[in-house]
Amino acid sequence: MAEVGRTVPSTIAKAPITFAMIELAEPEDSNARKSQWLRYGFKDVTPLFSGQSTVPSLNDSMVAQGRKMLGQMVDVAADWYMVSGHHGAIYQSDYYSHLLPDGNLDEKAIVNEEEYCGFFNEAYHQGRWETATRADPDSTLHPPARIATFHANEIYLRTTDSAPDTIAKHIQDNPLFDSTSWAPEPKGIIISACNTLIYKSARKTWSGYFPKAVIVGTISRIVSGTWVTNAIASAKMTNESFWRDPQSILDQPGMCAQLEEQLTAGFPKSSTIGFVYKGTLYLPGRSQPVGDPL
Amino acid sequence: MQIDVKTILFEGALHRLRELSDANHLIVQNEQSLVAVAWPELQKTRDGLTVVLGPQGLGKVVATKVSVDNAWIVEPKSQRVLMAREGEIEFVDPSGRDKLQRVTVAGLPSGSFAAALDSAGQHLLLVVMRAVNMDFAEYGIVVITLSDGQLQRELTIRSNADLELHWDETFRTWVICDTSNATVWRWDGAKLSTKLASALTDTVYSATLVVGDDGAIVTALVTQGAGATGLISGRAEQDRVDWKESVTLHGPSVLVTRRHPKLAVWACLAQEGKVQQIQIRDAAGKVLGEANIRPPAHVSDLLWSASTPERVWAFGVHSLAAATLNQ
Repeated sequence: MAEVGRTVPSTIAKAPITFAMIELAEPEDSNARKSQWLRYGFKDVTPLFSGQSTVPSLNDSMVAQGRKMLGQMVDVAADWYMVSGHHGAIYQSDYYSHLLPDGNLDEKAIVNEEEYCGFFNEAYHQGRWETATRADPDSTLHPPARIATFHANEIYLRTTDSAPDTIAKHIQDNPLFDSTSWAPEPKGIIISACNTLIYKSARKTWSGYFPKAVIVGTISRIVSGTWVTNAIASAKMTNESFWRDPQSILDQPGMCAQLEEQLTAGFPKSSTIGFVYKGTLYLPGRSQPVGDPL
Repeated sequence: MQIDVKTILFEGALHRLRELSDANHLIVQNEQSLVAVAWPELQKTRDGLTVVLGPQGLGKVVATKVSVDNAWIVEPKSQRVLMAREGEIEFVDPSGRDKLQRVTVAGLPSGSFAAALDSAGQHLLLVVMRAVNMDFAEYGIVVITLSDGQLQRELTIRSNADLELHWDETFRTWVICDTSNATVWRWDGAKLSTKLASALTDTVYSATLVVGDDGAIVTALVTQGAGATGLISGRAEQDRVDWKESVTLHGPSVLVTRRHPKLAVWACLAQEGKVQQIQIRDAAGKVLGEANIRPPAHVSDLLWSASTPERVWAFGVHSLAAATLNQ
């Protein structure tokens, strides 16, 4: 049989679902997810930018408005959040605290022991991420004019505890963590960037702030956030019912494993996607407590 | 212009779509399979029902274990599918007449994301992933000589957004476009690539590339003052993009646009709230025809038929809409 008798769910008289988005790099992934959520009739509640059809990337000329939006985001209580951009250790130089005897990076130690991670935009990437160290967090050993331009436009949202001001001089606010508006906590969060769930400290932090939310992210490098949004869209489970109430689906036996299988099927096999739900990290073929090392 | 839209919903995920010999013969990447399917068969589906492709449904499976990062393309003359897998290129005959052939390619990584052939069908350009460091990766370009599997890496082109690839016979180079910012490069497959000079100053949010009778044409959607959407197109010359004046697109927000390869008309995917719409616009941005796509279908990209100017495909992960343009 070529046809399946699945009928279209009615959306009449359903509670409005809200979402908010933060985009710090290429916006294709956020635009795709926003388009799909709007199609379900969900409401964008992102401060300042909700009326736009596309999600602005908080870089260059959008940094000032972006900071204003992030400041207002702490007062937003959305059902779903999507944060997209660059993600990694606070500084690239942190890698070199974890070297193997042969001089190569001990990648396992980095992902399991790095304390401070964050989402960031391109100015932070080219500025502090590439040039700062814990001993020189303002990159004073680099050309001041060039560094000043990057510092003026940087945006960094911590995804772990804040790094102390002895080793980090930049703002680390994350409106999702700093919000006082959770009542109830969001249904889920998409964290679309490299390594958003590979760092133990980051996934423990997300899980600690949002113990009941489904948090979809990556356990490897990715090139484009569209990998994440395409995999989510490809999964059979992520229909409108899922977005309205993921907990009622994932709380059924076997459904978390099924979601991981479906996400993996739509994700490049050269990389890894996973999610955190109620204290457990789901990754291809297995699961483990979020606090266990990889 | 009147536009008729027939929309098909799929049970499985539709990752990629191409035409075979004409608009009635399609090849789609459905879940982990490549499936050859006739449009007239799909067209019979009753509205609101979902279609299953493959052994339990419509079409013929021509390749299995195909991941979203196995780039593939249809070779126009032979109608064979060329698919990149780790360390090799497969030649698949969808008709099943010819046996599967393989060319070993030393150094070809497991992930590839887009493909293009040169006019002689002798070289295959691929987008691959390049690791930068532990927290960063980017797209890069390689070219493969199909006769002997030699792989040549391009060293300067990099992007974190999708790249569109075409062969431009006029300049006998590949043309590569960054879909997030409309940056364009030319590469002859041997020397260093050239990043084309561009005077574009608007904020681009989507760009596409087509090569046809008027050369290589880039189209960018830009955010204008007060949040309006603008469309600007330019011809990729040897060392620069010659942009025309931008035009304002009135009406629902346009998410994606693609110029026809031979005609100065643009297919646009527009959305306002729940409503998605296919529009055909002229060079001045005027809407020549428009039609809504009925929910729950959700589409995200457009493809002009290679065989007829009267057909535009709009597709998303679980939906395919055929827009037939009637003058």
